[in-house]
Amino acid sequence: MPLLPSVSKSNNLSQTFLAFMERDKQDTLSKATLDPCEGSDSPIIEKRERSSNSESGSLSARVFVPKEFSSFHFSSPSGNDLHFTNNEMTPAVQNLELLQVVLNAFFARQQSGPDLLASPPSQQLKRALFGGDRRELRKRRMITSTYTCRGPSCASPTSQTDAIVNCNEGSPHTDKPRSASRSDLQFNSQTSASDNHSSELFAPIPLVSQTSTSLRGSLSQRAAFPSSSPSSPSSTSSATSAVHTPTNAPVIHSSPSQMEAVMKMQSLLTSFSSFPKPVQSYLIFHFLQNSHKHTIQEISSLLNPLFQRDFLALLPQEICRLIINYLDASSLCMAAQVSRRWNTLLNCSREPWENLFRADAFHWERKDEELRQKWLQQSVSPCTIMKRIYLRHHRLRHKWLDKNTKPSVLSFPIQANNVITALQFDFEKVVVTSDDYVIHIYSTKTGKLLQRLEGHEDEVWAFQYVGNTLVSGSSDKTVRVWNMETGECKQVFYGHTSVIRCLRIVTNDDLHPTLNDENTPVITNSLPLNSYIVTGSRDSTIRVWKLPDLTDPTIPAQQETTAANTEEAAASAAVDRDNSNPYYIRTLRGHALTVRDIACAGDIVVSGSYDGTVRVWQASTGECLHVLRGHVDRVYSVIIDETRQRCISAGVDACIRIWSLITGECLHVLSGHTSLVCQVSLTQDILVSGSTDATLRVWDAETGKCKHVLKGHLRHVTCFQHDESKVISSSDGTLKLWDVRTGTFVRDLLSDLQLIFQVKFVEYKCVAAILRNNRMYLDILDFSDNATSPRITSDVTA
Amino acid sequence: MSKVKLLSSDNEEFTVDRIVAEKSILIKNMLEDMGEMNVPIPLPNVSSNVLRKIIEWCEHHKNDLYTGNEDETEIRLKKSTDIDEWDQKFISVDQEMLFEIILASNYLDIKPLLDTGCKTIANMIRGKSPEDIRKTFNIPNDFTPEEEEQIRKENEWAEDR
Repeated sequence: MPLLPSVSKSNNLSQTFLAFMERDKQDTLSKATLDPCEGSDSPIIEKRERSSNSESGSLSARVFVPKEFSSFHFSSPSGNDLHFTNNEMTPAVQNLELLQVVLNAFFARQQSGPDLLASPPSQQLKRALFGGDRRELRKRRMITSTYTCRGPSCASPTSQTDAIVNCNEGSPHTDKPRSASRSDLQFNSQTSASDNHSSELFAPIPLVSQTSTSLRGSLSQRAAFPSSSPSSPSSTSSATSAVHTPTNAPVIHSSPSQMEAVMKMQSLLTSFSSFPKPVQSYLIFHFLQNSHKHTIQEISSLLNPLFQRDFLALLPQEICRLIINYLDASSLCMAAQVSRRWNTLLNCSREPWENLFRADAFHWERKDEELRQKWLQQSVSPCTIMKRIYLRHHRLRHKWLDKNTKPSVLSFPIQANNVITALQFDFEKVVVTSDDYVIHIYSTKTGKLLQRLEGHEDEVWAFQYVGNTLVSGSSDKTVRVWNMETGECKQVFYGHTSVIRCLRIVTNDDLHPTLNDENTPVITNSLPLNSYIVTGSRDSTIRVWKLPDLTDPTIPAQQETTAANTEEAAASAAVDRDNSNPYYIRTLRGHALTVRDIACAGDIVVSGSYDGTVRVWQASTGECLHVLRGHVDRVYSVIIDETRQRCISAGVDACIRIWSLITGECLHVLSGHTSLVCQVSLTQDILVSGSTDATLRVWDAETGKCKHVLKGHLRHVTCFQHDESKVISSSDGTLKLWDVRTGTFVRDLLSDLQLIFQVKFVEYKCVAAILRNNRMYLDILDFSDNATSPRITSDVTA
Repeated sequence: MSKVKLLSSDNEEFTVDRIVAEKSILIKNMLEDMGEMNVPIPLPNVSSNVLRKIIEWCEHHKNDLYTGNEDETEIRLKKSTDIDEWDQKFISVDQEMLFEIILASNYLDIKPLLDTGCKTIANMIRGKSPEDIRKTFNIPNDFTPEEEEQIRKENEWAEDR
């Protein structure tokens, strides 16, 4: 709870006090506003105290005096105002002096006895006030302090002031009462300097004062009831006596003169509340000027909370939103934990999180969409969803790119001969194929061999799995469909006449949100075919198959029609065979040489071939939409850029080409690599290519400009994967991690290996198929929080 | 140069150059609609001490180009909370005054000043723990321990930036 919970805005005394406290703290006080030559009506006065109070540690040399101190004068009902003529001094000096007169008069009055309070000032008081040589006083003050000030005075006459200063002449006055008041004020600084610091400000008053007045009490009372009559001493003392705790007050041994001065405090306070605002301000200002630094700190700590504002709770929502939009992610998280109100405010809009997501160049992945759908069903607010997704990406990026993150490593030997041809994994299983004809499935968590898919009669070059369905293509010219759980081979498709080199499964899940309506939607959003398989072969054809359901009955085995005597007979037998296969859809013919890579999106199939062309097909009709000519050598890699309706191809000629899927024209030729580009990959606007020239390059997918060249590998890049944050690439013995946004090398994930065949990562895990000590291993690196300590298992048996 | 008179909520009259007053889109539109006005424009939502401060800002920025056409999302994406040096000094006021300046600049429709105020508050929040933020703005923690724990988990920020 705040010490002084409610505060009125009209509490100008504290306000101005705080204003100059704050000003004083900041040494950045604008010099420009203090320039007297400027002639504007800025209410700032610069005052340079040269001599006084250096030992008591009072306010520092440069003091900000609010306009209130310079903007009033006194007038009497008789019309005989105190008149200081302007030709003698500047208005502000006049006012300040006048205030000082008031201050002096007050203490002079106190010394003369309390009866003076009610009666008009006597001649004696007048003499005390104005009996001295005013010029001398001025001279003295010019020595001790320099005022530079500007600003018009404004009249605020009050009868209260008249009661104190009611004189007919502006006669010169002495500074004798003034020095008396100074000694009174210095009492404060002396006691506080020697006191227990925690109670120095307040303790002396209750101890010596009969009415137990406490500054703390009167302050809080004033803050709470700003409109109550200020000239009601009874209410002040009754309210403040409740605050008084004499048992806690330290005993102060003070001299009789100090006692006397403190005794006067009560009556001073009583009168003080009846003073007009400017006088109060001025008095407080001078009290403070003569106070010890610690005293001011105390007061400051009391007052500061009064001016603190719970901005987000008090400002209109639209302004809060502006503020929130300026916060970074960690501040947004911290601010949401401040209070219920803040939490509600920060959770009402997903806009800041969306902005951050874009600003940090995160990519909306399919996983994000899945999470979003899941949380929407759980009635999680859109803002919280966006925040969670942002944090998911942020943590992932941080984990990978922070050099201090130590991943746990699970390493286990696998069964293979000479080469690992393909690898795919999720958090349950790692599937690898090698030249030993068998597809092996290992547990990602333990490395245990879960399943062996046996049936192919030659090495398997390509496979992909979706759910429990795995489709593989082999040098034995067959395509096989497996139940991964049972290890059962469900279907065998014949038809290709040579090695199956590449393979893709296309399902409805792969479809991305609707494309921009302005463009012709080349990639349709609905699949005319249900899920399908596309296979590319060394026989230069592409075959499209319906994806079987695992519950479908196995179709009868069809043997290769080698027995046919003539070509015609063989062809007709092949047609019969295809027609008898309910999963066969069609063959896409056109390439002259091996189909090396396939990319699919919706109904579109893009194929890259050793004949140097890239072809764009429509899967549902078999129509060849475009033949993209430009590469002068074999094409190794093709991908589709769905957002921009483009496809990208690369190959032996070291060039990367970006084509329009709509017109078929070549939009960009990306040159820079000096040797075969074995692979290109794309996530949103980041295109990465790996080459046998030992570098990887990061390109802007929109413009085709090269953003970074990743140099560090010593030999050709064998494989890589990238996402919104990183590139993980392998070259002979090392696995390197790069920051994709800066193009800088982060660290070696694995090194001193003989070979790295494959590398893939998903979220926190990275799996590499490697050759170490002449033995094939799978190394699984885990960057998640709950990763166990590194361990290397020995041989694992099935 | 033509002058404009402004009247604060506490009836203090300010006379400023029209170019200065027109930093406020509210006043600019009023002047455009009403033409030359000899009577002071009443600003019932702005007290004299705040108005004085705002006029000081407008005086300093009177020759700035109007930047209302800047792409807002661009600015937000940048998340820049840089404040010009003069403005920083200008806005170094107590929270009460800052609060009033923000409200007044919103009411008067002085977008650059409103932005400066919002950035200032964002900078006051930035990099602080929830407890530090509470101290800065004198906000009581009104969560139950269970709520606090749940919200802490939801907003966990493990990494140091």
